[in-house]
Amino acid sequence: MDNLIIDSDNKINYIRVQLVTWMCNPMTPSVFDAGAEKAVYDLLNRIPENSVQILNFRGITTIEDHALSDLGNRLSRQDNITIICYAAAGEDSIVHQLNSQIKFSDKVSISKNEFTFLLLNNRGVITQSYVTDEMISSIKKAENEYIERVVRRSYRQFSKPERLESTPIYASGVFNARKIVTDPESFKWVCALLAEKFEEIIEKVRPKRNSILAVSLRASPFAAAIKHLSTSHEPYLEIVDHLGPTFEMFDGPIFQADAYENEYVLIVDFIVGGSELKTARAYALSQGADIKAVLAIGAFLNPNAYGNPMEVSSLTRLKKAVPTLRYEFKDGDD
Amino acid sequence: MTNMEFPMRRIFHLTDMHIADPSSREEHLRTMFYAEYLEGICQCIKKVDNSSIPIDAIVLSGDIVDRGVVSNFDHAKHVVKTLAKQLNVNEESVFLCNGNHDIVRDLELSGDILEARSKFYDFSRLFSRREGSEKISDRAEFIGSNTAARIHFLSLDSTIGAAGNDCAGSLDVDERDKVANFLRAKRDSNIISEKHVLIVASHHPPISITEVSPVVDEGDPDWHKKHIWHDASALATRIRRALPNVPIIWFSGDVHQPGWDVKNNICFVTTGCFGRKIGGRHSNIPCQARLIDLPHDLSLTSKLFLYRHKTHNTISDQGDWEIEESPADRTNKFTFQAEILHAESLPANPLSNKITNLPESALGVLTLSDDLEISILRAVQNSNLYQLGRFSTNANITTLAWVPIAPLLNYGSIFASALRSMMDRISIIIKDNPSKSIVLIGLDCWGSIFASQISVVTGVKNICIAGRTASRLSSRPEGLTSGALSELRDTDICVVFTDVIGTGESLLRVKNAILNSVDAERIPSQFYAFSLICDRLNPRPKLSNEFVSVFTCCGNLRIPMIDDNLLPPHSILQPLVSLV
Repeated sequence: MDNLIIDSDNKINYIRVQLVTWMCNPMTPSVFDAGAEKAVYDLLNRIPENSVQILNFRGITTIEDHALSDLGNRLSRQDNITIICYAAAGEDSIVHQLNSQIKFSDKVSISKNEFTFLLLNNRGVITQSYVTDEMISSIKKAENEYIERVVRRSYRQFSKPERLESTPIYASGVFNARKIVTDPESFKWVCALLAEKFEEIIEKVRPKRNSILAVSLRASPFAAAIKHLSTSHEPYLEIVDHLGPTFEMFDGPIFQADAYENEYVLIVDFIVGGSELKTARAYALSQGADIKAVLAIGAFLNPNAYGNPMEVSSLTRLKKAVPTLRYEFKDGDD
Repeated sequence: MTNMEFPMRRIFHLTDMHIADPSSREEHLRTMFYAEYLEGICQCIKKVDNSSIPIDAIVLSGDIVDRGVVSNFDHAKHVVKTLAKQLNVNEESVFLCNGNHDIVRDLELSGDILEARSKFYDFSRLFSRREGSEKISDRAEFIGSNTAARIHFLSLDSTIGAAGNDCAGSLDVDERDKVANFLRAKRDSNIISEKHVLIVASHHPPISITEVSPVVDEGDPDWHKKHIWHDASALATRIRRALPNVPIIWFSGDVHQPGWDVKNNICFVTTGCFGRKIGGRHSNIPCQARLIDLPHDLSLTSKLFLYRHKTHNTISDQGDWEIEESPADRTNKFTFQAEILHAESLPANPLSNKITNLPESALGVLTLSDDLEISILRAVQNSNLYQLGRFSTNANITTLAWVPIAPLLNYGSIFASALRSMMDRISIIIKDNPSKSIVLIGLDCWGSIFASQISVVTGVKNICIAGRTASRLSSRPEGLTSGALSELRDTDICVVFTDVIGTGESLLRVKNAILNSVDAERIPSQFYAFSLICDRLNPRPKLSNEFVSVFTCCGNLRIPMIDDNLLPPHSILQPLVSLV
């Protein structure tokens, strides 16, 4: 599903438009075209009457001419309230395109720290009463809970603690990102959120060149998707086959690009002990490059505990997804 | 395309001269100081760049005079002519657009938009419009190239529709249609091609790009955000679509701060004020101008020149031009080089040495798209990606060549084109087998990337697995575990993706592992393979028997293989890559 039902009464329906455009317009998912409009229209037709619609245009940079006309008409006709939100930073153009194409250009747009909202209800009357911090929190909470569910489904509990492949500690179970990649719906949501986080990281750490690095089989699909969905930067994608979880690799050149002085954002699936991060950074430094930041789906520790000097971020904490998760060294283990 | 056909282009950008009072002692471009000021920047350019590469064009993106005092165009004429002379640029190659300060506001408010701009039009006829121009609409004018630099110019008036305000005006769909269709017609009649460059100038920038932080302008930290011509970002997309392979550089001013970036494959450039009243109300950023170089390989570089005061005394005009030393000055690159670069420095068609009498084993390998294959071959050649050596990918057979995949798939639009070609073919397989259950299998990193991306679009389940599970290179959970096999239960068709097919043993190994391990009544009956590179001439008799079809994006790149016993031992010729 490309939509999430946010509250327990199924009254708030949330759509990340980028997930729709990725499917309808796979070569340029940042463009909202007529095909995407039809898909969003169909999605809205399938949800309950009288619910609040939230359309998040984050990751969309261009709305094709006329692509919102039918949807705009429908949104202005229906009785339920529609909230169109989009990331504010650097995406003023989309604010304007939405405004002009849905023909509410004289209406209010309200700047918040992270989101800007256009509020429409029936016949286009703007209401501000729905723009609350609780609403923003609800969206974030729903997305976080979705990620936690996805991560939980990727977890396999061992009957007794087993030693991990990547690091000499014993675990109560193992996360396998392959399960996320296998399911296109889960994969899309995770990638969209990773891409959003990636843009935030780039703004924060300002690498000399925007380059994404993945050093494992199961991180590679996420890294490629982040490159594909990234809107404000056109990163170079480097795949090293591979440094993790088994720390051996091809005997050829480690980095295929001109790595000297390159500053990478490393994409990993899950961080437990952080061995893959440190190994990757050691190799990067040996090539005259560096890893400025790390982005993961899930991390066991607080990301700050791994980092210095790398900026480590994750979509969720593994312990939140699986509260029974345990990692330990075994005394006297040989 | 040869260097002669795509010569180096060098463009000088200045904007926002804001000539307010030429007789004032406080203005950089005043009558008694402008020549010295201009000479200073010309000397600075020569000092930092002694390449003697000529400047092909000057772009002046509006606010030539200040606050609609159009009588100052008389002085502006001397300033711009002097600059052109000092930079050795023909006056016909000085391209202009107007800014919100270049119009008579009373006339604008009364609705006479042509008369409000008449002095600017007179001024512009002294320069690039001297030889005439083609009017697309009230706001858009096209000037075709008449020089060896093959630079076309599109002037856009971003102020129409602003009702005399300082912010950008409107730009509706009809106007975007007109401009896009005009350029499309120019392309169709071959007046604009990939050998040309299109310069677009609009006073208000269509997108926000900044290099400096924090921004302080007229006391408002968000000042620049309020001066973006948002409607024009959609026009930029339309122009890019109309001219898919033409380098486009879009110059703007107004926001009084520098920035440049390639977005949507268009290079957007803004530069701060070139002139202003010393200590005046505009930006706190030093006066500046910019030099953009566009060489044969389309690696854009920018040099920003700043007028730095020597003292803290802001009413002093004692300053010097110097080049900005900033990490923000970097290289930006257009990304369609796969299609346009060096096209004619290769044989007319890189497949011209294609072997026509293919052996029987080659018949099972089908190329997805000739155009894509040509792009890949050109990318391999242009980026010197082909490596010779001993590459041990199989216990008995050694591969003698290697192509790194990351730089190939980051080259131009090859990744997107490869995905599109694969998706098109998968769609046919899905359509031809409506009642069959299909699973995509991504082999190793790049195969998994292909499979996962196609899975998003088609909704077909995919599994990523390591093809070298038995070797030291992969961990057990990356292979065909029970979890992965459970995903294959009751599957009819397996479509396997990989980056390069050598001997094809990895594919056969995966197929056999699946057939031997799937615990179900129904096991996959059909296997297809997709690859980025697969030399069609290599003998793989088993593969064509075991797979319904083997598709590749590039089948005509020779990847020779040899019996390992025919090579000296590893102690004498060490493998560059060893996967066994």
